[in-house]
Formats: sequence, C-alpha cells, structure tokens
Amino acid sequence: MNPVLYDFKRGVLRISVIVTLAIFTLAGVGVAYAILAFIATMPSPQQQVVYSYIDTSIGEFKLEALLLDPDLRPIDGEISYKLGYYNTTTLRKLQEELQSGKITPEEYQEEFEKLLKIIDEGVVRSSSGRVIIAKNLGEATIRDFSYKLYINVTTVYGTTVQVVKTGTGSLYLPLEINDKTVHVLVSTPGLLAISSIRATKDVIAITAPQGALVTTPSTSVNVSVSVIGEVELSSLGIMSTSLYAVGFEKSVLIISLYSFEDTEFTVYVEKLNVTELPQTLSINDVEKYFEHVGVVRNGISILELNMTLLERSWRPVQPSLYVLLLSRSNNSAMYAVTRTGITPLQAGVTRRIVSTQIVGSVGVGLFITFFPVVVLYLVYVYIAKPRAQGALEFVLARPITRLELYTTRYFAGVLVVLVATALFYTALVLSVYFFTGVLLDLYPSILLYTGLSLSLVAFYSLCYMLSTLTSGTKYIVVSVIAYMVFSILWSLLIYLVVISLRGFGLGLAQELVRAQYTSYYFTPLGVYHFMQYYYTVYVTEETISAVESVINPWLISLSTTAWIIIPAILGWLVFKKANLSG
Amino acid sequence: MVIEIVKVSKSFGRIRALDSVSFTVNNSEVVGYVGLNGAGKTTTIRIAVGVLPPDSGDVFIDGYSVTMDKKKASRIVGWVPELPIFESEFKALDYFTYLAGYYGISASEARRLGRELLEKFGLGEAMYRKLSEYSQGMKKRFALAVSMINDPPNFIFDEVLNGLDPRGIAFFRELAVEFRKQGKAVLFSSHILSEVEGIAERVVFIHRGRIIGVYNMEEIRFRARPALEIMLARLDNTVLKLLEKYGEPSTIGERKVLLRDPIVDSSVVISELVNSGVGVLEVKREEKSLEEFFFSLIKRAESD
Repeated sequence: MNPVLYDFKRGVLRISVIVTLAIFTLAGVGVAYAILAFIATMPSPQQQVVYSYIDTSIGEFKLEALLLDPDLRPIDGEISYKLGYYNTTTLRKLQEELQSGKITPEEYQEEFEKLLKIIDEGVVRSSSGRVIIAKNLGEATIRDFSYKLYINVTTVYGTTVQVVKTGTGSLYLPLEINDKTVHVLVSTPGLLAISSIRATKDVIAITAPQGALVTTPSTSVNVSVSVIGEVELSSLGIMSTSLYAVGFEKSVLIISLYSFEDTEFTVYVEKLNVTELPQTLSINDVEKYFEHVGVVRNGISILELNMTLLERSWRPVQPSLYVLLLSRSNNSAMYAVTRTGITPLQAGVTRRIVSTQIVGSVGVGLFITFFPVVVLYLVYVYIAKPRAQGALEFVLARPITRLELYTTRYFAGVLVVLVATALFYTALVLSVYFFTGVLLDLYPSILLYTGLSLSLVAFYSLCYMLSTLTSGTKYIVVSVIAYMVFSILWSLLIYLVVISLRGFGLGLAQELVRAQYTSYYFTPLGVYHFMQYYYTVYVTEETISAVESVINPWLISLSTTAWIIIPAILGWLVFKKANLSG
Repeated sequence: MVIEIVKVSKSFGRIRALDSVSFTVNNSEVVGYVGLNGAGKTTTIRIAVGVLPPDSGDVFIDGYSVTMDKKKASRIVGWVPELPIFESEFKALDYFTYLAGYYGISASEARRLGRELLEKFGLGEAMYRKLSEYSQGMKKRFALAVSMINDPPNFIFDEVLNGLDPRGIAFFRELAVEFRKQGKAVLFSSHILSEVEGIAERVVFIHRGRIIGVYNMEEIRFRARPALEIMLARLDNTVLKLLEKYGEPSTIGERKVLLRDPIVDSSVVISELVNSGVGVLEVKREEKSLEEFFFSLIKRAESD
C-alpha cells in the first residue's frame, strides 16, 4: 500500500482520531442545532394560518392550522393550544366597569381569568406543516358564551407567545344560521382581510355592505396586524385572505374559509389593468374584471398566482387587490369579497437567516476555533511524538529518503485535515438542510469549505514546522501557544494594537475592521476569515467598505500559499539534518 | 555483499563522535565491531543504515552511497538496533504491513509475508499484540523480521545480544553465523569482545570515535594466550633455544623475553635458566583474557 495512503489511513483509523471525527461530525449536527436555537431566539418571522369552528348544536370542535416559514413554505413545528369560553354578558359588564374606572386593569385580568373556563387543551406536532384536530367537546355549549383560542407555535424559527392570562387569544365569531350558532375563527398571516359570505341571485356588491365591524386580534402577537373587513354575524360564512408578493416571480394568496354549506368556491383576483371596479357587477361580468386563480373549499388553502405584484422598487403595484370567492348553483350563488393588502416578501428570507447563522460564532466559527487543536494533535502523532521517542529512525531505515518521510507524513496529515473538515461540513450542511429545508448554494459552500480547509492546512503546516524544531512535550507547549495566539487572541491583540496606536475616536470601528482584515494576511487562519467575508457578501448581497478597501483576492492567494508552503519548507530545512534518535 | 565505511566523521555539537572511521565488511564475513559504550559504534551504524547524515565521508552498501543513493542502499541492508523503537501504539502485524509499504509491497502480500516472518522469528503468538507490550527481545526479533522483508545481502546487528536471555543470545549468534554461510556481509557490534568471539572472523576496535585496530580473531586469540615475561641478566640465542623447549619465546626488549604458551610452571623455567648460568632478574606471569587484550589496545591508543 502506498505509505501516504497508509499514513493517512492510520492517521484516520486511530481510535483518537475516529473519536475526534465522530465528535466533529456530531459537532456538525450540534452546530446545526445551535444555529436553530439561535434563530429561535430572534423575533419570530414565522406565520400561521388558522381555521377553526365550534358547532354548538352538536358540540363539535375543529381546529386546522398551517405553519409557514418566512418564505411561506410549510414547516413543521409544535402547536400547543387552549380553548376557553366565558359568559359574554358577564364579560361585557366587566369591560364596562373597566372603562368607567370602577376596576383596575389588574382586577379586570383577575376577574377575566376567573371567568374563562378552559374546555380543551393539548399539544400537537404538525405533519407537513399541518395540524388537524377534530373533537367532540361533549359539554353542551350555550349560545351566550364566547370562545377564545390560544395557540402557541414553536418552529425552528421561533415561538409565538400567547399568554392565556392576558387574554390575547383569538376570538371566535358567533355566526348564526338556521337557528344554530357556529363559532368560527379564520385567520391568515400578516395583513389579513376578512369578509362574510353572502347569498345573491346575480349581483355582486364589491364594496362591503354596512355591518358589524369586527376586529380580531391576530393569532400571532409578534407581527403587527391590521384587519380590514366587515363581517355580518348572520352571514353564510366567513373568510380571511392574505396576499403576498414573493419576490418578482410569484405571488401567494392564503385563504382560510368557513362556509355553512361546504362547497367549492371559485377564487378570483382583481385584474391589474382594471382602473376602476364598479360598485356592483353582474355574476356574468365577473371575468371581465377578475382573473380566475383557483378553487377552494372549507379550510385552509394556499394558491400560487402567476401575477407579478411588485415593481422594481420593491413596492407593490397596488396597495391592495379585491379577492372574490364565488360559488354558483342553478339559480343562486354565494360570494365573499375582501380588499386584500399586498405584502411584499423578499424571497429567500429563510435561506438568508440560516446562511448567515452558519458562519456565525455558534456555526462554523465554533469549528474554526477548536479544530486547530485536533490539527496540532495530528502533527504530534505523526512527527513530534515518534520523533521524541526516536521511532522515526526505524521508519527511515526503510527504502525511503528523508524528504519522502517528511512529505509522506505531511500529505497524510493534509489529507486527514481535508477529510475531517469535509465530514464536519457535510454533517453541518445536511443537518441544517434536514432541520430547516435550506440547502446552501454550491458557490458559498465551496467558499466556506475552501476557507476552512485551507486555513487548517496552513495551521497544520505551521505545526509541522514547529515539530521539526521541537519534539514531544516541548512541541505541545509551543504549538498550543501558536494556537492561542492565532486562534483565540488574534482579534484582541489587533484591537489592542490599533487602540493603543490611535486611541478612541471617530471612525475607530472602521479602523478596527480594516486592521482586522489586514491582519488576516498574517495569520495562517486568515484565509477562513476572507472566505467567510466573501460568503457573507454572497448571502446578504451587501459589502462592507472598510473590508473592501483591504481585501484583495491576489493577496489572499499569496498569503495562503505562503502560509502553507513556507513553514513546510523551513521545516524541511531543519528536518533534513535533524538527529532523529529522540 | 560489501559494507564499506569510508572516512566517516560526525560531531554532535562540540563532541566529535566519529573521526574519519573507515573499515570494510566483505561478503561471507562476520565483522565484530567492538568498543566501549559511547565509543561511536551506534553512531557509525546509524550512519551506515542511512538514518543519520554524516558530516563527512560516506558509507557504501554494495557500492550504493547511503547519502546519495539512500533508497537503493537501504533496500539491501538489514538493521537490528540495540534498543529498537517503534510507533508502539501499533499492533505488530499492522506496523509490519505499514513498513512493508515502503518496499512497494501490497497490503495483502505484506500481511502474508508478515505472518510468515513473525512466525519464523518466534513472534507468531504476538503478531496481533501492540508493540508497546513487547519485551526488548521481542522488539529485536520484530526489527529483524522487518529487516528481512526483502532478505538483504548485508546485515548490521547493533549490540543485539544486550539484554537478551541465553536463548535469545544463542538465537542471534546462530543467525549471524547462518547469514555468513548464506554469503551475507554481517557487521556485529558489541562492547564485549568475547561476545563476538565465536562468530566474527575479524574485529574492528573503536575508541573515542577512532578505529584503534583491526585484527583477525586468530591473532587476537594468539595475543591473548598466557605468557611469562622474563627479565634476564643476559639474552642471546642460546637462551632463546633453551626457552623454546618450554613454549614460544619472543624478544620484547634488550634483556626481556616473552614466553608464550608455557607448557610448564614458571619455577621449572627459572630453575632451568639458573642451572644454565643465566641470571633471572624478574619473572612476571601474564594471564591475558580477550578483554585484557581489548583494554591493552585502548591503553595503547590513549598513550599515543
């Protein structure tokens, strides 16, 4: 077997290195978890669509929810919900007392808590982003009661917090038809619009009719939501719509619909070239003003529209568009109209969040900080220890030149470093993909891997040189000092130097960044920081002028090559004449 | 089949370890390399097997320079060090396979050969054990097995009998003789002359980095025989004739004679001389062992 491969094999297939590699593969997974945990602490950009009703006549409770990531793709998570009810009349009295100042808000809270009875609660994991709960509440439901739903959603993008105490849950609207009451809750994310379903023979009223204006707090407390719409409590049903312009390519219409009669509704969106809609229009004229975009039924629906709703300046073409749902039978029809605001959504938010975190201090930063320890240990195993013991002589007595012995072990180590980095990196990227569905692009992947592996090879080269100058325990001491300086203390040292030279003052931050990046040419681990910068520029599409002024691809190549080759050559000059008897 | 050491010098810092050392080991010959500890034997050998670069001079193995043509030279010389040191976290057979890689032998072939050689040299039971668990004797046998990967025509044993049990000593002595019979050139170092007595034809003596003598074993044995050193009132041919009856006389001074291998007791010789009218001034009996011969060489070298 080729000794380079054999040295590589024994470099890899020794228990300590296997354990280390396993640890670093796990570290890849662990780092992915850490990234998720970190993202979860950021303001939650996740969204959810809710569809729920309580049929008081039979005591049926239904809850359907769809969890979406910041790019509006279904994402899995956990939903904990609480369904509570209270006596509306008593609450109204309480509210009046609060308004007239008879009771303090704290007392109101206290009373409200006493008033609220939790009738159902649970924790459910979603599957493909969806949660469906159907239950018979058994407990006879009374007309005069109101219902509230509290849901807390936890996904990798964060957790929404709805505290039952403060009552910021979502209120069900009591719809009445045919002498029965159905409490309905429909909610779509962001700028939602809600509207009642009405019956008609042939005329559709575009402007919303006068009725009870209902505002419902959104299910998501972290996103500010305004509700546009009016609902008649004696209508045939209720719908909520949200419209997103996702980048320039596509638009997404989210609908949560409850209709007494569970039937198909055709979905129309106002045509963009229509300057002004008539206040009423005939059913037969619908297609003149509206574009047919799909068909929905009761529940949650997401429709992708082939409409570009964004202008180049990232502004919506119109602030809002009318959305019409229409269900026609032989001689009658049902319809609902909402005026839905358009929310522009930058495509790839998720990707950007995840990609940025991958190179963060809990991401790859963790690896580049600690893997050099493995590298210096590797050199200890290959050269420093056998040299201290005197074991290299017996190897050198084989038909091999000193240079070959030197280079064989050098390249075996380089190979171990490349493979270990690849293992860690693959584990990281795959687990991030597994957890978030975000797969890094090839280009930034290569940038990051190149940065990681080259900086570690440069550090390996440095340690290799140190191992020719010292051996055994002395090597450990010297290489650990090198590690401390280059990996742990470097930034601090640069900061200290810059601050002591120029003092505090305007533009210090810029100066520090410039000095930092300039100094990276003079450390073996520098190439990683440069690649990390290029990676970040690719991901965020933003450059930092202070960095741009000092970063130069040619200098990076030169510095990296020098850091890899020069120590290796200096090491050889010493090793060439060295006494290897230990 | 020939190990030529040509004017090799080596210093460690300010200490001159070897000073223009030259000697040759021919084919079908075992050459003893004898010197005190620290005399430079191991340094010479490390240079000879190419693991230590000399300051000047060179070593040629079958004509291949160990400094210029090391790979070829290393291929044709075997080496069993005094204290073999390996990367001891390896299992014996694995390390054998690893080292065999340098001879261009495939892993499967190396394992087959390793099993065969380790078995042959008595490590059959231990080939799957870690080298760190090996005793000194086992390590030497392992080094031997590795050196035998391509059955080289030249062999160097460095203080190989040190620290071995009688069985181990017999094993390596027999091996050296066996190698000689096979036509190999064998260099066998020791700090005890008697260790190489039964196996070496020639002995190279080294002291403080310099060669102080090269002797045939016969000559050494001859010089190490017992003798009477007699100081006489007069010395002439008749006296020598007289002494020839009792041994091998040789003149070593104006009135001094050395009688080797006396066949009778010294008193008989004295009375015979006195009866013949030759005055005997002083008689010393010299009981020289091999080691005394070795020390006398050192003494002479130091007084030079």
